[in-house]
Amino acid sequence: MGLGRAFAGALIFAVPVLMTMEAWALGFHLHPLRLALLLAVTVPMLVLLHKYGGFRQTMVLRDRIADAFVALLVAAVAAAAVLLIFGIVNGDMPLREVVGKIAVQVVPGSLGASLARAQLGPSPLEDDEIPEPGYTGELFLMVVGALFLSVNIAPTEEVVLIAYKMNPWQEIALVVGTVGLMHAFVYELEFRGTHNPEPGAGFFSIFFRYAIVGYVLVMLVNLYILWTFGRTDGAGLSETLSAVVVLSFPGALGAAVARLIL
Amino acid sequence: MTKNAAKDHKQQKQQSDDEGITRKPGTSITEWVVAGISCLALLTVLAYLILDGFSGRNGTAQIIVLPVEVTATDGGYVVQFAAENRAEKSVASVEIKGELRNGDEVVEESSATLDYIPQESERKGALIFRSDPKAYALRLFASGYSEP
Repeated sequence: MGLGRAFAGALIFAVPVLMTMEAWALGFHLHPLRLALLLAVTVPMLVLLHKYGGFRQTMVLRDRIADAFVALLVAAVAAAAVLLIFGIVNGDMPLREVVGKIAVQVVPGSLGASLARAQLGPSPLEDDEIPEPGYTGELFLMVVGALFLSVNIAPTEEVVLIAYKMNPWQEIALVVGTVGLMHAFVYELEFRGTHNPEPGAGFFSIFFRYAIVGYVLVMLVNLYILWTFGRTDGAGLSETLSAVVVLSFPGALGAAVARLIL
Repeated sequence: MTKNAAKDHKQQKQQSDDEGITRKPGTSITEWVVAGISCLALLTVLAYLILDGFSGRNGTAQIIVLPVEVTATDGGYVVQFAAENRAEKSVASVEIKGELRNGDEVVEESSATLDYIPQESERKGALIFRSDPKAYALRLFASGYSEP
């Protein structure tokens, strides 16, 4: 039974968002269609995660799809239970608000539930049996790593507040610094580690093909998340970009160490 | 999640649909194209920020408040407004005031606070009056803000 581990993972990953005030508020002022789209995108992401996340490579697609839905259900049940105990959700609330509050929590929770089986349990495979993801797979893992940190931080008001406080020069410094950190992490942790995905790949090759591409992907993911949470509505281009840059700092760190945390 | 044992038995027999363990050395054209596009995107972002940095931000916000719609409800007349900040500066805790005037006399006042209006952005809100705004001259203006 992996359900216990799935619950543990869902709680560990979702607890920062479960205890964030802005995330509860998102439940009722989030655009329902955007929330539906976010949940719809989560399903194929979980299915792919089972393919690349170092799980058993024998799993067929049907099992992976079933696992994805189990992860979603576990996350929803865990979030509902915690929010009910906190008194954030109760029977007097309109159904729409209850569903919204729980649905926001499902994304980090289901990620956690999926990963928990790989992280917290004994690995079903020997190390050398785990399939190495290809370039696309590596980029996908980066996106999931970014999502993992961004979804925790994106609902908070701090993101936009920092964006308002920064001037363009500070933003440039943050972009350059983030890309540099990302490259250092990827280069040092992945390509100097035991699982070198590309023996003989050069410094610049890795910089352009992983750090730069990864960072741009992280920015796109964060733009999508901010749009989903309604942070871009009515905001001008430079404020939107500013918020994306701010959120891409944790996002890029998550992407760079994706192979460690996923 | 519940079929670990069963799956392990099948592990030997089943073909996986994953990539193999080995990776092709070298870099494909596609990968370099992706890298090139990403590089351009990042340089565009940096160029935009540099231009933004040189354009200079003036220190005062210009907040223009315009009425969008007046709706009669049981709780009074709801005047929806759009507050637009046309300056290169974001502001917080913006107090929006509304007055119904009959000539020089202020008949009724109402106010609302907007948490933030980012630079060159727009935020919406509403004021509620007991009297019908259509019967008087309606004035909407921002009366103050704080730096975020």
